[in-house]
Amino acid sequence: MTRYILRRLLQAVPLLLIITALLFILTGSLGDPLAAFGGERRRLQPEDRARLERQLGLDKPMVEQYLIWLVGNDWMKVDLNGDGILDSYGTRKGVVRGDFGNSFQEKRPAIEVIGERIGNTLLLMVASEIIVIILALLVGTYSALHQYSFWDNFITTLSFIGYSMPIFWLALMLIYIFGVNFQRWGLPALPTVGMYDLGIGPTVGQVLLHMILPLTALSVVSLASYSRYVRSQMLEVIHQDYIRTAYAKGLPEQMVLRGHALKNAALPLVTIVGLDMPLLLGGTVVTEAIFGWPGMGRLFYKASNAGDIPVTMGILLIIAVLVVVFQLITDIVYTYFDPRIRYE
Amino acid sequence: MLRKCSWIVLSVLVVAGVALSGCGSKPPAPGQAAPGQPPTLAPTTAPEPAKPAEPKQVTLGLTSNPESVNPMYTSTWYSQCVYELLLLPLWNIDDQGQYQMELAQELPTTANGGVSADGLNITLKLRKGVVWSDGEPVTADDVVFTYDMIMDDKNGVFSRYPFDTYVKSMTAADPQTVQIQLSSAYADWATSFFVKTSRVIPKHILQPVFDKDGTLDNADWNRTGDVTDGPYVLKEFVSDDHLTFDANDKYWRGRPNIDTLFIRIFADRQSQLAALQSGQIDIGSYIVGSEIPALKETNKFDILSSPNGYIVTIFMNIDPKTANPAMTDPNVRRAMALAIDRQLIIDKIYNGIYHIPATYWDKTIWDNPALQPYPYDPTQAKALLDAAGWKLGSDGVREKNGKKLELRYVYISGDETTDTMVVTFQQMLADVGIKLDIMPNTEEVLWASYSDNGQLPHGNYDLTQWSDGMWYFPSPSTSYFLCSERPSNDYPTGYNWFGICDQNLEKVWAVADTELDQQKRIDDYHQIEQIMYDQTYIIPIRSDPDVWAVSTSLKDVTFSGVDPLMFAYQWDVK
Repeated sequence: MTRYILRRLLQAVPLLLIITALLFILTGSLGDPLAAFGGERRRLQPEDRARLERQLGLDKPMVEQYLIWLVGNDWMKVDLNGDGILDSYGTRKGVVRGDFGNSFQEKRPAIEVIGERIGNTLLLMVASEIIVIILALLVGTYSALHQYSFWDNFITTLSFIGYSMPIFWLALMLIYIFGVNFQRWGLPALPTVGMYDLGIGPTVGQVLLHMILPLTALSVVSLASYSRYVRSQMLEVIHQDYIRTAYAKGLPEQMVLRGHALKNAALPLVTIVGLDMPLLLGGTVVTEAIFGWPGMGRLFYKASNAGDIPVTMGILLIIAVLVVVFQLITDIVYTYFDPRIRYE
Repeated sequence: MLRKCSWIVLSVLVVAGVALSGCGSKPPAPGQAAPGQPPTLAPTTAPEPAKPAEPKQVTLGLTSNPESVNPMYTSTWYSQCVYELLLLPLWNIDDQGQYQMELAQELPTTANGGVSADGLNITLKLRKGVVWSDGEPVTADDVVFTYDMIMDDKNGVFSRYPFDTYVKSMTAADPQTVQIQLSSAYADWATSFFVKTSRVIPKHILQPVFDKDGTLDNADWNRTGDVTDGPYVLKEFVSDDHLTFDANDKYWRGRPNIDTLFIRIFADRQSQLAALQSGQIDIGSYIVGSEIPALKETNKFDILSSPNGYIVTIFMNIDPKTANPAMTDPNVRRAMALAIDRQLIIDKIYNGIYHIPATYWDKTIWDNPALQPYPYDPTQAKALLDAAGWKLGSDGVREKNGKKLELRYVYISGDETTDTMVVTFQQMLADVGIKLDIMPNTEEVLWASYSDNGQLPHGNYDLTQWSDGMWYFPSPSTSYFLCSERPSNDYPTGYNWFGICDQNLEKVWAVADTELDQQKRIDDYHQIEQIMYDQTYIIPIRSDPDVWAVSTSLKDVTFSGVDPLMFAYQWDVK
């Protein structure tokens, strides 16, 4: 197993190089990062544009820009003042030494910009994932065990509605019902924006209160699909011979379900959750934007729109690394659920 | 059973106890005797101290993130709102063009000797008694330091203009006097030197940072803004979420009325509107016409508007090398202007909150009062197109010499009202036989540079639109329409993406931008506007003022289109 893990980690290095190179080229093609400097109401003077292109390294070929992003330029001389003479050493250390560069928009280290958002996104996404997994297991299992009953049909209908609902529509409806109209009707309204009330501050209660609506929006759609998945897996498993044998041996239902049925039905779910884990960090653009949640999704959307290459590449690199790592973790977790699986 | 009975008995006893407790005699009020007791003097107690007044708090919404506290690095409108709360300019300018002195004692002029007769030397006297929030005085050294940092190659500042073009030297003659020497006369110096988005930064805080790091690019102060001279001090900046400002006791006008000002950042206008309607914020910015009915329905908001020198206008590619031949004909351009019912668009899409501009310098002192907006006259439009040789085809689209009058309309999409407006243009132009191919795009793609094969600099379009105006409002200057600003391989950074090259315009502009006498300059700009109007080089669609929604629980809230939050120090709660 150790050799397997080491081999996978070594294979990840060239894989990540290829991924980052492709992403860098794609990101660089998104548009002109200097086009929106100053916003709608101000344009860069030609001299300023030329200077900023030089200072940000945007005047260099794409390959050179990628290499500087990767390994830095503090080991080579650059033309700082545009006189054509290479007179100063660069200041970039490169990603391999932990320097993701400075955000073009916020003019500070990209890793700092990203780091501020990770916690906010994980808070929302992990909470949503936990709620969805627990509820999906409960709802899916109940549905499978009471196939074609009234409640199964009811849950199935709700799942299809939930799955079909566009999340932006759901988010806006939640805001208008529980935020705007509740207040109009004299009912206690739920907060619709931000992580806490600015006048009160970031208390646990405030953050939990502000999480209600975005969590609901996130969970409804995912719960619908996960619960259907669990239901179909359970239906397949509970009709297997070993389940019938377990019942015949006189085991209580709870033990049969938890110890035998769920463990086997959960194996494909582990794959889905494992694939979802790195994407949790990407956040969700729509929900974060609508609810004003300062997370990674919103940051990624804003940065990629503005051509902020350091931030965009930083986020993509982190996600790429997490995909590789979680793929490996998923493979390892398989061996727990299915002892027949072994790696050389 | 026994357990159940015990609970019942216990409950009865509790209820009885509560009921009986009300039957006892009330304790005597202070000064009164208990029954059967001689009266006693009430004990003297100090009156309860008055509760401190609740701190006054106001929350303002912005629909984009201010990127930095340091004005050297960004000049977006949103960042400007932050600067105005934290950092003082030499003077603020309201939208009537009135100067309000801040750091400067008075506006230097030739009359008061502050500006030399040739316009090349400016003596700036700073106001005494202005201090930073840590008590250090604001001096001429701070002004000179700011200039030095802007000009230093080690700082990746947003723009050095106009300092790099016009300033020869800047020195501190004494702590209250700055001496500026210009390399050439610059008529707009008063609206661009350390005003609006250009502000003075604290030397005593940032010089040590520059000495240590060799740059201010990563200075903590750029995010913390913890030493300022404006009406507020920045307490917290959470990117894409909020900023918190505390009143600055050391502000030279005195502590502002509002103790704490919050700025809440929204990703889009829908979220801001919902927050306004639910009372989570007190002031909303960049309100559009479609939001006004929903706000008025709450009866909780006043809608305020500030002209800012910006209009939404259609620009056209008339470069003979790249343009559709139809666009090079001023009669075709005039026909398009006459075919669009702009008042209908303003009334139906924007709920009537804007007006139709006549010129690029709409409602400013530079605006030519003799010019009226192009009327809506589709009959005249058709006549002009017929006279220009564009005859109506069987498919309803005009053609000439076998070529259809089909035009590409590129614009920045994403805003529903803009999208609706453009589709309306398409229909109105179709009614006179012009087919419009709509091509929506993002800012970064639409405004990509010549070097990045940008659509606009390379003339791969026929019409486009955005909100634009005087970049250095209230200064009228713009380089958009000059022949020399057409982009090319030799000059890829030129901004004249429209191919306009009019020798009459060039002659007047060359005079206007060096004219120091304001009235003469106004006359020059009237001539410029007449030429542009006659040639229909642009089609102004609507005004684009700053529109704010202000809670009726606030008072004394006013704005300026030049310096939006310049009056924040006087805002108050009712």
